[in-house]
Amino acid sequence: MNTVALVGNPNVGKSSLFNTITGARQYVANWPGVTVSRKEGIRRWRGREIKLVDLPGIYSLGAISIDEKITRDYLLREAPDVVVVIVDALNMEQGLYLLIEVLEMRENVMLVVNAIDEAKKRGMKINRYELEKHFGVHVVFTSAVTGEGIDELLDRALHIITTKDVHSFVELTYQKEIEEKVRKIEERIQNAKRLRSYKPRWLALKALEGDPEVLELLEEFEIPVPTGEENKKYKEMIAQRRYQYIDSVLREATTSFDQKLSVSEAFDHVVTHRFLGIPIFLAMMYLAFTFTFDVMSPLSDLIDTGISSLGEWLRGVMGNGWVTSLVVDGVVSGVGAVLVFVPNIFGMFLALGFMEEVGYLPRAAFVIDKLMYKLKLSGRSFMSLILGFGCNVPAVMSTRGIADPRERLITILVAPFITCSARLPIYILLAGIFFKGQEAAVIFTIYISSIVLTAISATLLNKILFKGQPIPLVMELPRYRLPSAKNLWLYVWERGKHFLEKAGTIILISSIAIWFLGSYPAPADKSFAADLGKFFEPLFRPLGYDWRMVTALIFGTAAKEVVVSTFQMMYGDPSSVLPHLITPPVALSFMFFVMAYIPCFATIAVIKTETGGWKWALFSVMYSLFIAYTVSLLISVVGGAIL
Amino acid sequence: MKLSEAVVGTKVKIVSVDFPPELQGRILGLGFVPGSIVEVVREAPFGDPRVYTVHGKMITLRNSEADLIEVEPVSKNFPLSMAEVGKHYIVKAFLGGPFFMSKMRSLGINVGSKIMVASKFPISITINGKPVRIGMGMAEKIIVEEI
Repeated sequence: MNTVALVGNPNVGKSSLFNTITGARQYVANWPGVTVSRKEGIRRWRGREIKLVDLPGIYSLGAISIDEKITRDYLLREAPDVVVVIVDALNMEQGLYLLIEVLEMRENVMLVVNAIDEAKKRGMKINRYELEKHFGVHVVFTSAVTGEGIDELLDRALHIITTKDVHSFVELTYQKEIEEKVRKIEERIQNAKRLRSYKPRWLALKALEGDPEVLELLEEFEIPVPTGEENKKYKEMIAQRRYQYIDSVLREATTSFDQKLSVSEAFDHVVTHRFLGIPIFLAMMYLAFTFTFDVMSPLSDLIDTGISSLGEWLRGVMGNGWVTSLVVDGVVSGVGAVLVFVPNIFGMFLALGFMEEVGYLPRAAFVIDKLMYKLKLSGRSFMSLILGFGCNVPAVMSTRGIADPRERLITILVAPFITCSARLPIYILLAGIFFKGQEAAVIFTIYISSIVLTAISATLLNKILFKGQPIPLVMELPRYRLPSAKNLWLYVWERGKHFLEKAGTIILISSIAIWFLGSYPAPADKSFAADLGKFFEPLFRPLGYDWRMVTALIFGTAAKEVVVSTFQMMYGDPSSVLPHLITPPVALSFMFFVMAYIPCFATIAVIKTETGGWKWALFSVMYSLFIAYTVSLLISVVGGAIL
Repeated sequence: MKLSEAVVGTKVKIVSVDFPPELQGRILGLGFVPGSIVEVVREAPFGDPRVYTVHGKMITLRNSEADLIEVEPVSKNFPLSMAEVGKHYIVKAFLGGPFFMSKMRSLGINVGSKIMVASKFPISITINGKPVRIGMGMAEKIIVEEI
């Protein structure tokens, strides 16, 4: 099988092209850094199987952030048959810079100019033959939206695979001083056998730039290389020359076009306004929550009614007996308790997806960066954290795009405080019982508190672990994009599906387990579950929790939705039982406990993988338990005193 | 001049870029290379970070990062705050809102007015032979061209 690798800047439509070619469903976000690791797909073309590899979006082939390293190592070691460099038709410069870098590393490269439909719409003309001539590669114009040029892309790739014809090879000549140094290092490299798998010119240029990996490699062979200040100077000169070349080529190859997008400009002017920016951000968030609850709740009620009737019907058909109880009280009410919230969760993803799709989220990151800066984080980690509102697992995984290891670790450790969609059902349940009519406001408060808690934790951890050094922010603001219904649906489905899968697996299993633990030995308040809850209850007495709530918390570590399932099973009808057992402040305290305590198993596992050991995973567990207990205790005590 | 000091709405040319090695590659890759033209697009609440356009891309940088990029002005138009004492200028544009505009009118400063910078810190200008004191904040919103 032949391999074709896709390389490009973030946000040039790489993943869209990948999807169009392979027919895969990979969600494409309108912000940099979606592909956190490489994705692979297979396309059959003219009787051959071609494996496509979608690599993370990068700006240069340094070896600093994990994204860059993944791409660079892949290009160096896996030797794909064709490397496709994708650039954005409306903004080719940075993409062509990457093309030059890739060309210095490998020869089997071709160039794809994507979003050609948008360029045409704006009357921009690109001369393909000029590009081919000056970069010495095959050039194809594509549009992932209209599908234009995809066949040609595949044909050209196949052409390179079968004939090894990469067009004409053009080598960019640098300044005299650089070229002389390159020649000297190249000569020395020729003698070192083990270095022959690399292009000598690439090694020499990287050595001049002061690339740590290459310097180490060359030192092994005792090849003299420049260091420190010299590296800095050469690196600047090399980059300058590349951009000079790109500018001169583009002057010949493209017609200028109306750069300023009036709509986009006007939009930016408002949403990132000095004074309005932050209020607009909060308003957008609040709107998203109102949409999640108010608009979606009739659907939830419908499902709720459906599930209750299903239970009644099953009871009628199956009669009384332990099997019926297992099916109705265990499976139907346990899984059903979670399914009721499916519309809310899909609603929230729809709202979040819309903001992301349009391109608002990077602007939001920009607007609140000053606050993040105070926390010694950056807008970039904000983008990872906001993914956590869906699920903490992708949030933790997306930190791979963060270049700074300190910022990355802190982001991973605080991410679980961002309240994920699995915790939403418990808020909705309790807010509906204790704060009727004010659900959206109460839940919004919890969300804001979760952000504040994340912020405080970040500052605290930074102070303790890293003595509080600030972290840089270099972020691209992408063009605004009209959300495509297909992409939006993919976004909602990709995330919502996960929730449904959980309902069918871990929540189903937990429901059955909880039913057994809660039913045997009979009666319910002498069962194993009761023993467990009662054993730990004294610990939670200061908080005012009932033993059944404690049991729910324990089971909830498997997946936080299980808290709701447990409630359903242990209380039968929580809305009529709970008000007699606890006060509104205790209910609020419990919501906060659920928000902050132990990340679920899946998140703990991913923290372990991403930080490379149990140390930080355990730290996260202990730390979050401590925070949850402290905050909830405060709410129970203060709330109790006020009432 | 540092990039962080360039006024919103103006264009500057990069002289040198001095980031720590771990960021230098990305910054250069994004197009912040000596000789490139950067436009200061806008600033976030509290004036930090700011958005710049470089080689057709909008990039956000914090002021602490923009401090590491040395630039020089390119456009003939620049804010009055950067004008030199003793030289003559013509007013080209105002960056402020309606209140600012009426304030300018009341001072007798209009687009096309010819002014001379009499002193700096605080800035005082002569317009039609009449001296006027201008605050630093206002001086940043008055765009002038040397004559």
